[in-house]
Amino acid sequence: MWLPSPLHVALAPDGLRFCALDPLRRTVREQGVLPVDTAAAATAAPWQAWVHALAGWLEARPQQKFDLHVVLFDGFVRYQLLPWRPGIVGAAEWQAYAGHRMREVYGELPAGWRTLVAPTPPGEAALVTAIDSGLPEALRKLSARPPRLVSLQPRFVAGFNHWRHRLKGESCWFATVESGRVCLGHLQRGRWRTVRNESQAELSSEGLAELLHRLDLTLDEPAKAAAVYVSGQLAGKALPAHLAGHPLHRLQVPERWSAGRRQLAAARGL
Amino acid sequence: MRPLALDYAAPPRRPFFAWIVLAAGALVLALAADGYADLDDEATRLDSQVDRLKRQTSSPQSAKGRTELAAKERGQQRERELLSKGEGGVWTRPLQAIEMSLDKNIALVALSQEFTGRHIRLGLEARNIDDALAFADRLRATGRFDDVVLTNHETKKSTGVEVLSLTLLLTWKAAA
Repeated sequence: MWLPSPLHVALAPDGLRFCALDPLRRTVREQGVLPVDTAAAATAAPWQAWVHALAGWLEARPQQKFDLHVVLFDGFVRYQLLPWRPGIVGAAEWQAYAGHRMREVYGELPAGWRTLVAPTPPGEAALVTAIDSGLPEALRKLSARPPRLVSLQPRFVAGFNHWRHRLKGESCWFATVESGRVCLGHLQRGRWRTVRNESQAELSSEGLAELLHRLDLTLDEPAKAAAVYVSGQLAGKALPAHLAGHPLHRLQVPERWSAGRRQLAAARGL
Repeated sequence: MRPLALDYAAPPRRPFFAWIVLAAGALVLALAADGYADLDDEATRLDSQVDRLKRQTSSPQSAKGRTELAAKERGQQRERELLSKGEGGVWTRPLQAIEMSLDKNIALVALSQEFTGRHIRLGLEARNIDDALAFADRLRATGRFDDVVLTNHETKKSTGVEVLSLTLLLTWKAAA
């Protein structure tokens, strides 16, 4: 095969979701969920189990070339909002400022964590993410013939970029939920006001309502009634229409989509 | 909502159209600067030309030139005073006389007046000298003028037709 096949992979709590397309991106060639050894996930590099699973799958297909698109479970990511500082101009200064803010919130991050600052217009707070820099390195050395790493995005970022056109109103919340974790951000006129990434043993609508209520206390009135757009599945019963005084909207791929598109969406963390 | 450019595999890059906009902006700026420089040069050249012309016009206007100018201004002032004192009513009667004397054989092409000398100078065009003289006779017959004098005449071609161009100097009667 001359052309590489796009391979979309989501490092999800329930395993490694993957979807390989044909080189022309027309049909799904393979898809599924690879089981992950969760006992190994308790080590210092919890992502190792997912990388091993992916490496094993690739080694079974030594003749194929892949372009790898990875979406990271929010549990592997640290999020922070960086207030605007007019005196900071260079990219290196922003990185140092982001590292300082991360240490303030999370304490001393293990050596080798890599922070990224989202480019924003002057005057706006910037979203910052941090991941273990060993993960991209490991993904680039997966096998004897490693795939080309095209994209590696946190799930909250990938989800927001996909669903952002569906978010309505001057003030709104966007949340990605998956088993045991919620990542929630508030936007006012397109500007990030707050971001919270929390784990909950059994995330339910009540748990999300409690988190919203806590965040409402730190924000102004428009945020307290703003719509909440949720991507992902909550445990227990279906989502209610309102949660802690907020209208709730579910973001999910349409039912009319073909099975292939739905499988691709799952592998893209949607 | 702007997308979040946070990707650990691909560093954030400016979109391609941003480079196009930047290049187009630089080009427009360069053209505008070039145009501005040209206009600035032109303005400097015109300024120097104006200065030169001012020097040229101010030097020959010596004492004599300034006296003539002052006399002309005084004459115009005098005319304005006469008009404001009611001489305008006297002035309208000769005009009415001229208007009544004109016919289809003669055309009035210019008129100028001098209040202080009670003169009216008429520029006329006629088909022949007979029509011109008949017009002068009609003016005299109105009784509004002390004198009607043909000061000059010449034959010329106007729009392909030969006509007689003449000038009459009239002196209207003083108010009683």
